[in-house]
Amino acid sequence: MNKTILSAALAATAFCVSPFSKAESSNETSFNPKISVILDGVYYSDNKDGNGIEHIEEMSGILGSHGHGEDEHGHGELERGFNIREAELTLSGTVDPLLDAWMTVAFSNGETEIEEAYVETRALTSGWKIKAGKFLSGIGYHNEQHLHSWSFSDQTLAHQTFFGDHGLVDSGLQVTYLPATPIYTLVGVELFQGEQDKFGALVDHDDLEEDAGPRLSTFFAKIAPEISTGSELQLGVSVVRNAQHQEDHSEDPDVEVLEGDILLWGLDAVFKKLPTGSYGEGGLTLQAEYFNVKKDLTIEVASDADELGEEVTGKQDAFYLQAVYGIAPRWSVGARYEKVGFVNEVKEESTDELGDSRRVSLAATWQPTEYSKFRLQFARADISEFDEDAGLAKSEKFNQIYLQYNVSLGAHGAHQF
Amino acid sequence: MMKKILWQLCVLCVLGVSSTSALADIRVFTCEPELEALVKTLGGDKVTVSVATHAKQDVHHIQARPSLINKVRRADMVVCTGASLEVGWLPVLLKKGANPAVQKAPGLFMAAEHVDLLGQVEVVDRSKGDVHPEGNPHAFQDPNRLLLIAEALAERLAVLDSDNKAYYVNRFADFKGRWLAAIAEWEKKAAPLKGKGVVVHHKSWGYFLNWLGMNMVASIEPLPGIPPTTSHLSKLVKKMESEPAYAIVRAPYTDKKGSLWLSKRTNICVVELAYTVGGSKQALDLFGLFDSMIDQLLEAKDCQ
Repeated sequence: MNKTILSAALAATAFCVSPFSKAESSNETSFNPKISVILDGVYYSDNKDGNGIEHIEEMSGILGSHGHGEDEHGHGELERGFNIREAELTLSGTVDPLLDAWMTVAFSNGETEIEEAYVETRALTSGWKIKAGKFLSGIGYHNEQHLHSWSFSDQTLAHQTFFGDHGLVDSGLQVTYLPATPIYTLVGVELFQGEQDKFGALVDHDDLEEDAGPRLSTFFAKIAPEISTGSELQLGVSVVRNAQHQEDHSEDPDVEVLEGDILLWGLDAVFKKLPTGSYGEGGLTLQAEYFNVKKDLTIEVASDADELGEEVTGKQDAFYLQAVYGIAPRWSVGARYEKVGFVNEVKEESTDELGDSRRVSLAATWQPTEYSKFRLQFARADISEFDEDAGLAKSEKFNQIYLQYNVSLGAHGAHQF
Repeated sequence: MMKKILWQLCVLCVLGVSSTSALADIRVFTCEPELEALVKTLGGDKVTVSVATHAKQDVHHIQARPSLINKVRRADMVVCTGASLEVGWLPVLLKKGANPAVQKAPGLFMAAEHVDLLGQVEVVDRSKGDVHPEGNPHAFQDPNRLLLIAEALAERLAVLDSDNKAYYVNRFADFKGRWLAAIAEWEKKAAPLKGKGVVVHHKSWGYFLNWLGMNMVASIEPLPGIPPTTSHLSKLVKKMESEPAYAIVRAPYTDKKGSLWLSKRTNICVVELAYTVGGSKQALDLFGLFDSMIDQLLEAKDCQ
């Protein structure tokens, strides 16, 4: 009885609000907020006594391979054996006719972290969107994808070396514009606080001041020329600048603290051949990204006064190419080649060559339903680590194996391209 | 003198611009081929229609790719099925398309909201597969329901483009006349099929079989959206031995293996019905679609 009254009242309300008796809208709004839980776990092993992940974290690069002042929280440091990497809770929905909101909280290894929390304008004026809060940057292609939609079990070395395990994620503001052109064209700018692993790293030092935010800014543009009804191509360029990057190179008792800026530019390309069979069979995704980073630092604090004002510069780049193919209904196989450091050098008084790192990964994924997937991944890595004392890069070669499961419960968010 | 000419030119320009914009078609983005066909039928030369999918694609699994986002961005109207059929991609298209005109009615038209749906469930649990809480969304497969959708759609076009209201009203009246005549013919022709049992691949055939008075006795997918398993197929073989079905039906986008395997073991005919416009050579429009599906079902009895 109560139910009838309630539904009658609801129907009446809907009728008053709109001349159309049923509120025609995408069904996303019917659960408000939508709740989803994603569980991700891996069985991990390598032939370096479980130190493979550590070697990758210490991979030589111009941003914080020295490991000072970074907070180390990844998708969990993996141990050999079984790991629950992440339990992710997402609440999302429509706030009012103007705004959508999204919040993802990740629980891993006893820590709780807000991965993303933002509001985004709905239909502001044609083509414009504004996002504010903490969110994954729209640069490149892979950066914005969540872990559960990755085609491989782990982060790319390129994102790892420049932005850390989570990619470029920070608090700030994003404005994008999609003009009504015959070809899909999206341009966006972002202003971020600069509280970021690696790229935005700051050190806590009495003689250095932290500039007011936002310190990190990005620009990106993407186009998708229509090539056929059965495939899609998207090309993008990105620029990221951090106006205040700090590093601490002190080694007791000597003090040496540096400050300056970093500039990144990147190119990305994605080609998808849409599946011709059922459940993803025959689908092909080719994806490649290249990042090039330059840092320009000055020694601001030093125990040796001669060093003050000296310039320290660095250049590094990174690249990956991956292909994923649906070999059978619900089954896909993927291969990924990564290289960090076609150029990888730091120039102080002399130039240090930091060496290059490479990895080849192969993955087979089984997706019994839309809501769960299981993946076996094998990787052969050759990671360069820089030995400060010897001034030389040495290489660590090892194999990694992942057996991953990823399941989602509750409202299943639509997938992005 | 010069000034006057310039002024006249200017006025001509403005008039030219405004008259072209008044003549411009309504740009309609549709999710599925049957809706594309319906909008074309009702909208005639007043609409320009694009479609997100084709008959060989499974509409449950479509990528919200940039070229579709761009079409939504530039649309005056979006016409989709609704009832969660496109839940995996339409919300992204609407969100990323950033087009205020199509976020809700009247610019957004969801066909399933204009008819009663079969198979509505109180409790939705994913252990039952990919079920839609609102009911089975594939309602256009019942020509009577399709007519209701057409009526609502024509009304909506008239709201969006009120200058051409009479045009849409007339086109709907014309369609209705032809469609009702066709339904009568189809029902007469399909009378021998009444009461016969059919094995389907996915439960998207419910409306069509229901309309023809046929029974869906089993489905090759153990649960909606879950690919066939050997144990499930073996059970089907046993079931078919005791009570053989008239035919096995699949859509052009579904995997052939399961239905072929079952057909081989049971000697029951498998027919690939067009399912939607473009799904077979004969299914060039909505009339051709139902013509061809009924013909194929009738022919299924002679295939062994």
